[in-house]
Amino acid sequence: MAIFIATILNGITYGMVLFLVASGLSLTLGLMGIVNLSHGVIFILGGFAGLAVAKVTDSFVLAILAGAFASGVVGLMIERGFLQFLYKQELPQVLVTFGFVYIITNLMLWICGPHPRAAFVPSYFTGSINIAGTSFPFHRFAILGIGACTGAVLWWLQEKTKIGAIIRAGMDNAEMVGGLGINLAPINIGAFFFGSALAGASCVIGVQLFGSVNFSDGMDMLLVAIAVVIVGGVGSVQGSLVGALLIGIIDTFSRVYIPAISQYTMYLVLICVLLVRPSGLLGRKI
Amino acid sequence: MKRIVFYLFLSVTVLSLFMPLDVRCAEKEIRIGFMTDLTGMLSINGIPMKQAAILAMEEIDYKIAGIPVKLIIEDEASDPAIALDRARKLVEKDKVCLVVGTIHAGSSAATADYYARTRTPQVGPWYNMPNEAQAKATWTWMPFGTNEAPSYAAGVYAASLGYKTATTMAIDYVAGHTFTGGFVTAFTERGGKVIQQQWIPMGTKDIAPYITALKEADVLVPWFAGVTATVGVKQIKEFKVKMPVIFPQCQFPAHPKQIAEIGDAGIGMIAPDAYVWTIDTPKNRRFVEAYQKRWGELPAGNAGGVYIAMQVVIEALKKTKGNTRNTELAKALDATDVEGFMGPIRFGDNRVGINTYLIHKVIKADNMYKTEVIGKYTIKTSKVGNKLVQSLVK
Repeated sequence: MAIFIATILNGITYGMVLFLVASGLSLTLGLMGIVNLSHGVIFILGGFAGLAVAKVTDSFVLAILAGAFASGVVGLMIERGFLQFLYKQELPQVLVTFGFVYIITNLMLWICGPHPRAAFVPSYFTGSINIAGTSFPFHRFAILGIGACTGAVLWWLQEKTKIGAIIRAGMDNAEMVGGLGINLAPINIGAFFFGSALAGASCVIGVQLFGSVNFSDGMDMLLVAIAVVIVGGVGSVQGSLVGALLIGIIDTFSRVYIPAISQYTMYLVLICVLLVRPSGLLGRKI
Repeated sequence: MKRIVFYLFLSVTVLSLFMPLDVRCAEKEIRIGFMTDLTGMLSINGIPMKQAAILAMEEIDYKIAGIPVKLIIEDEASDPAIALDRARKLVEKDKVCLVVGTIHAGSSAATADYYARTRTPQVGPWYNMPNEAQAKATWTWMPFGTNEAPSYAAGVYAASLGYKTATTMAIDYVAGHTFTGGFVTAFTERGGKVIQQQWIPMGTKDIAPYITALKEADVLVPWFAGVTATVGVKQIKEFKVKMPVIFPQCQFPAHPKQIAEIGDAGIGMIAPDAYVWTIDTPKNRRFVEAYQKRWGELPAGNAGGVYIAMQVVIEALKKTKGNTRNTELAKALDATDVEGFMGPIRFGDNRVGINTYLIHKVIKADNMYKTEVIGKYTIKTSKVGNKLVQSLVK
């Protein structure tokens, strides 16, 4: 029973980190139609920047802000420098953003060195809680809380604000939104910055779960984030949350109870969802 | 007549495919290939390795027997396919006379066959070859033993503490299996029982599921590749695992930066290794000083390994007086008698070094994380039938 409870908690926590990473990707993909394969490496970049700030300031909040800012700025540079010329050109987008994976990774390796950065766990998140005989680190509950709050804010932004309405309208029909006299360009720029910043912040938060971050984690996280977006549905906060929790929990359970196939369970979920609902669990119907 | 010509052509083509390539070295300079991971999962090892190789060359002013030496460095990127491609480049295009490398066990196994086919001497810079691959690798010299050798020492040590049961947890690829394998062999030979083995898929971010699924044993034997050791050690501590921890191969304790990054979480953990920067011998003190002066940091375990591997290569080339013919080099390498940090480096069966491995325990002293030596085992690798097996010398 103890293992079962610990596994559920591990799965939900892992899912929450996946949600934080994937929601930014889902936003840029849904609103701008940009297949941003550099999202994973932008995530890592935020982690390195945030952890560097945490080391100096000993502040978790400043670390999150620094991670978000660094990732947001780099994301914005990619969008303004390259992707703005490649709207509706999926293949060039894939090639350019994939190229940035290598460029940013190697720049980080060159500047920061190959050593992973250990997680920064603030003193108020340390300690552990005993659940059914299993010691469960307290910072995992903190990740759950931060993830839930972020999800609520994102949902409110997308569903209850004017900007959210424009974003949703832009996802459905960008030309019509333009025809109504709304300039989507600043919204797009803001959304790309926000999506990238969210990735950077989520790395600073999520690294507490993973123990450390290293420059080669970007591709692994990208793969899982894409799976979450496909399962949950593009451009939907709720979809990202459901997809992330589903993948997080199933992946974690399989590692404990059926380790032989644990490497493939994420893909099995992906295939099943694509067969039943190609637009994702909560995505707009194709 | 056409048929005869056709069969002749076919025979020549087929024979040429199976004939060993006679790739000769460049004549006016000695070209040494060096391959490690500079950009992938094991770059934490690869970058210090590269630095140590450069230092070794600088110390001899890039000259052996009066002949200029060129060190050609390639990145294997922890990818066997890339490693094989770079090996071809080094041998066929750069015409190196030997290669020091690689570090990724899969890359080593993949390239060893190519080096054997081209009869190019390959010198292992550290533990990077599994027993199975080394048994078939006819042109590969392993000064520090195969993967199973240090882990065999860890298994002997665990049994000596009276542990009867062990649970293992390792990254699911060739290095994980072979490092764990060496421990399991030594431990079970001495009456121990492995009650659980968990294999963690490559790329796994959260190791917590495997930690919560651990069965209670006398000792936990985890193995994490390169940078993932930081995650593994941190999470083992976070989940307050009560079992003592013995790594089958030294990872973070031999990395000055990684041991500091892991901090208190690593204290008390035990691992075997042939090199850490704290070894107190005149040769090592000189090396550490020179390395620090050149690179501004302490040498990691792999850096020490490469430095000695380069001495093996330099001595061999000195013996041949700069003759880079592969057969001459092979003879010289076979006759290696180089002073390592822990004693002489000599090759035994299948060109595998007989090594002394120190058992290290992570401690914090003088406000610094380092290791103290708590055991010492010399492990020999012998050929039995077609297999390589380890045994305890002393």
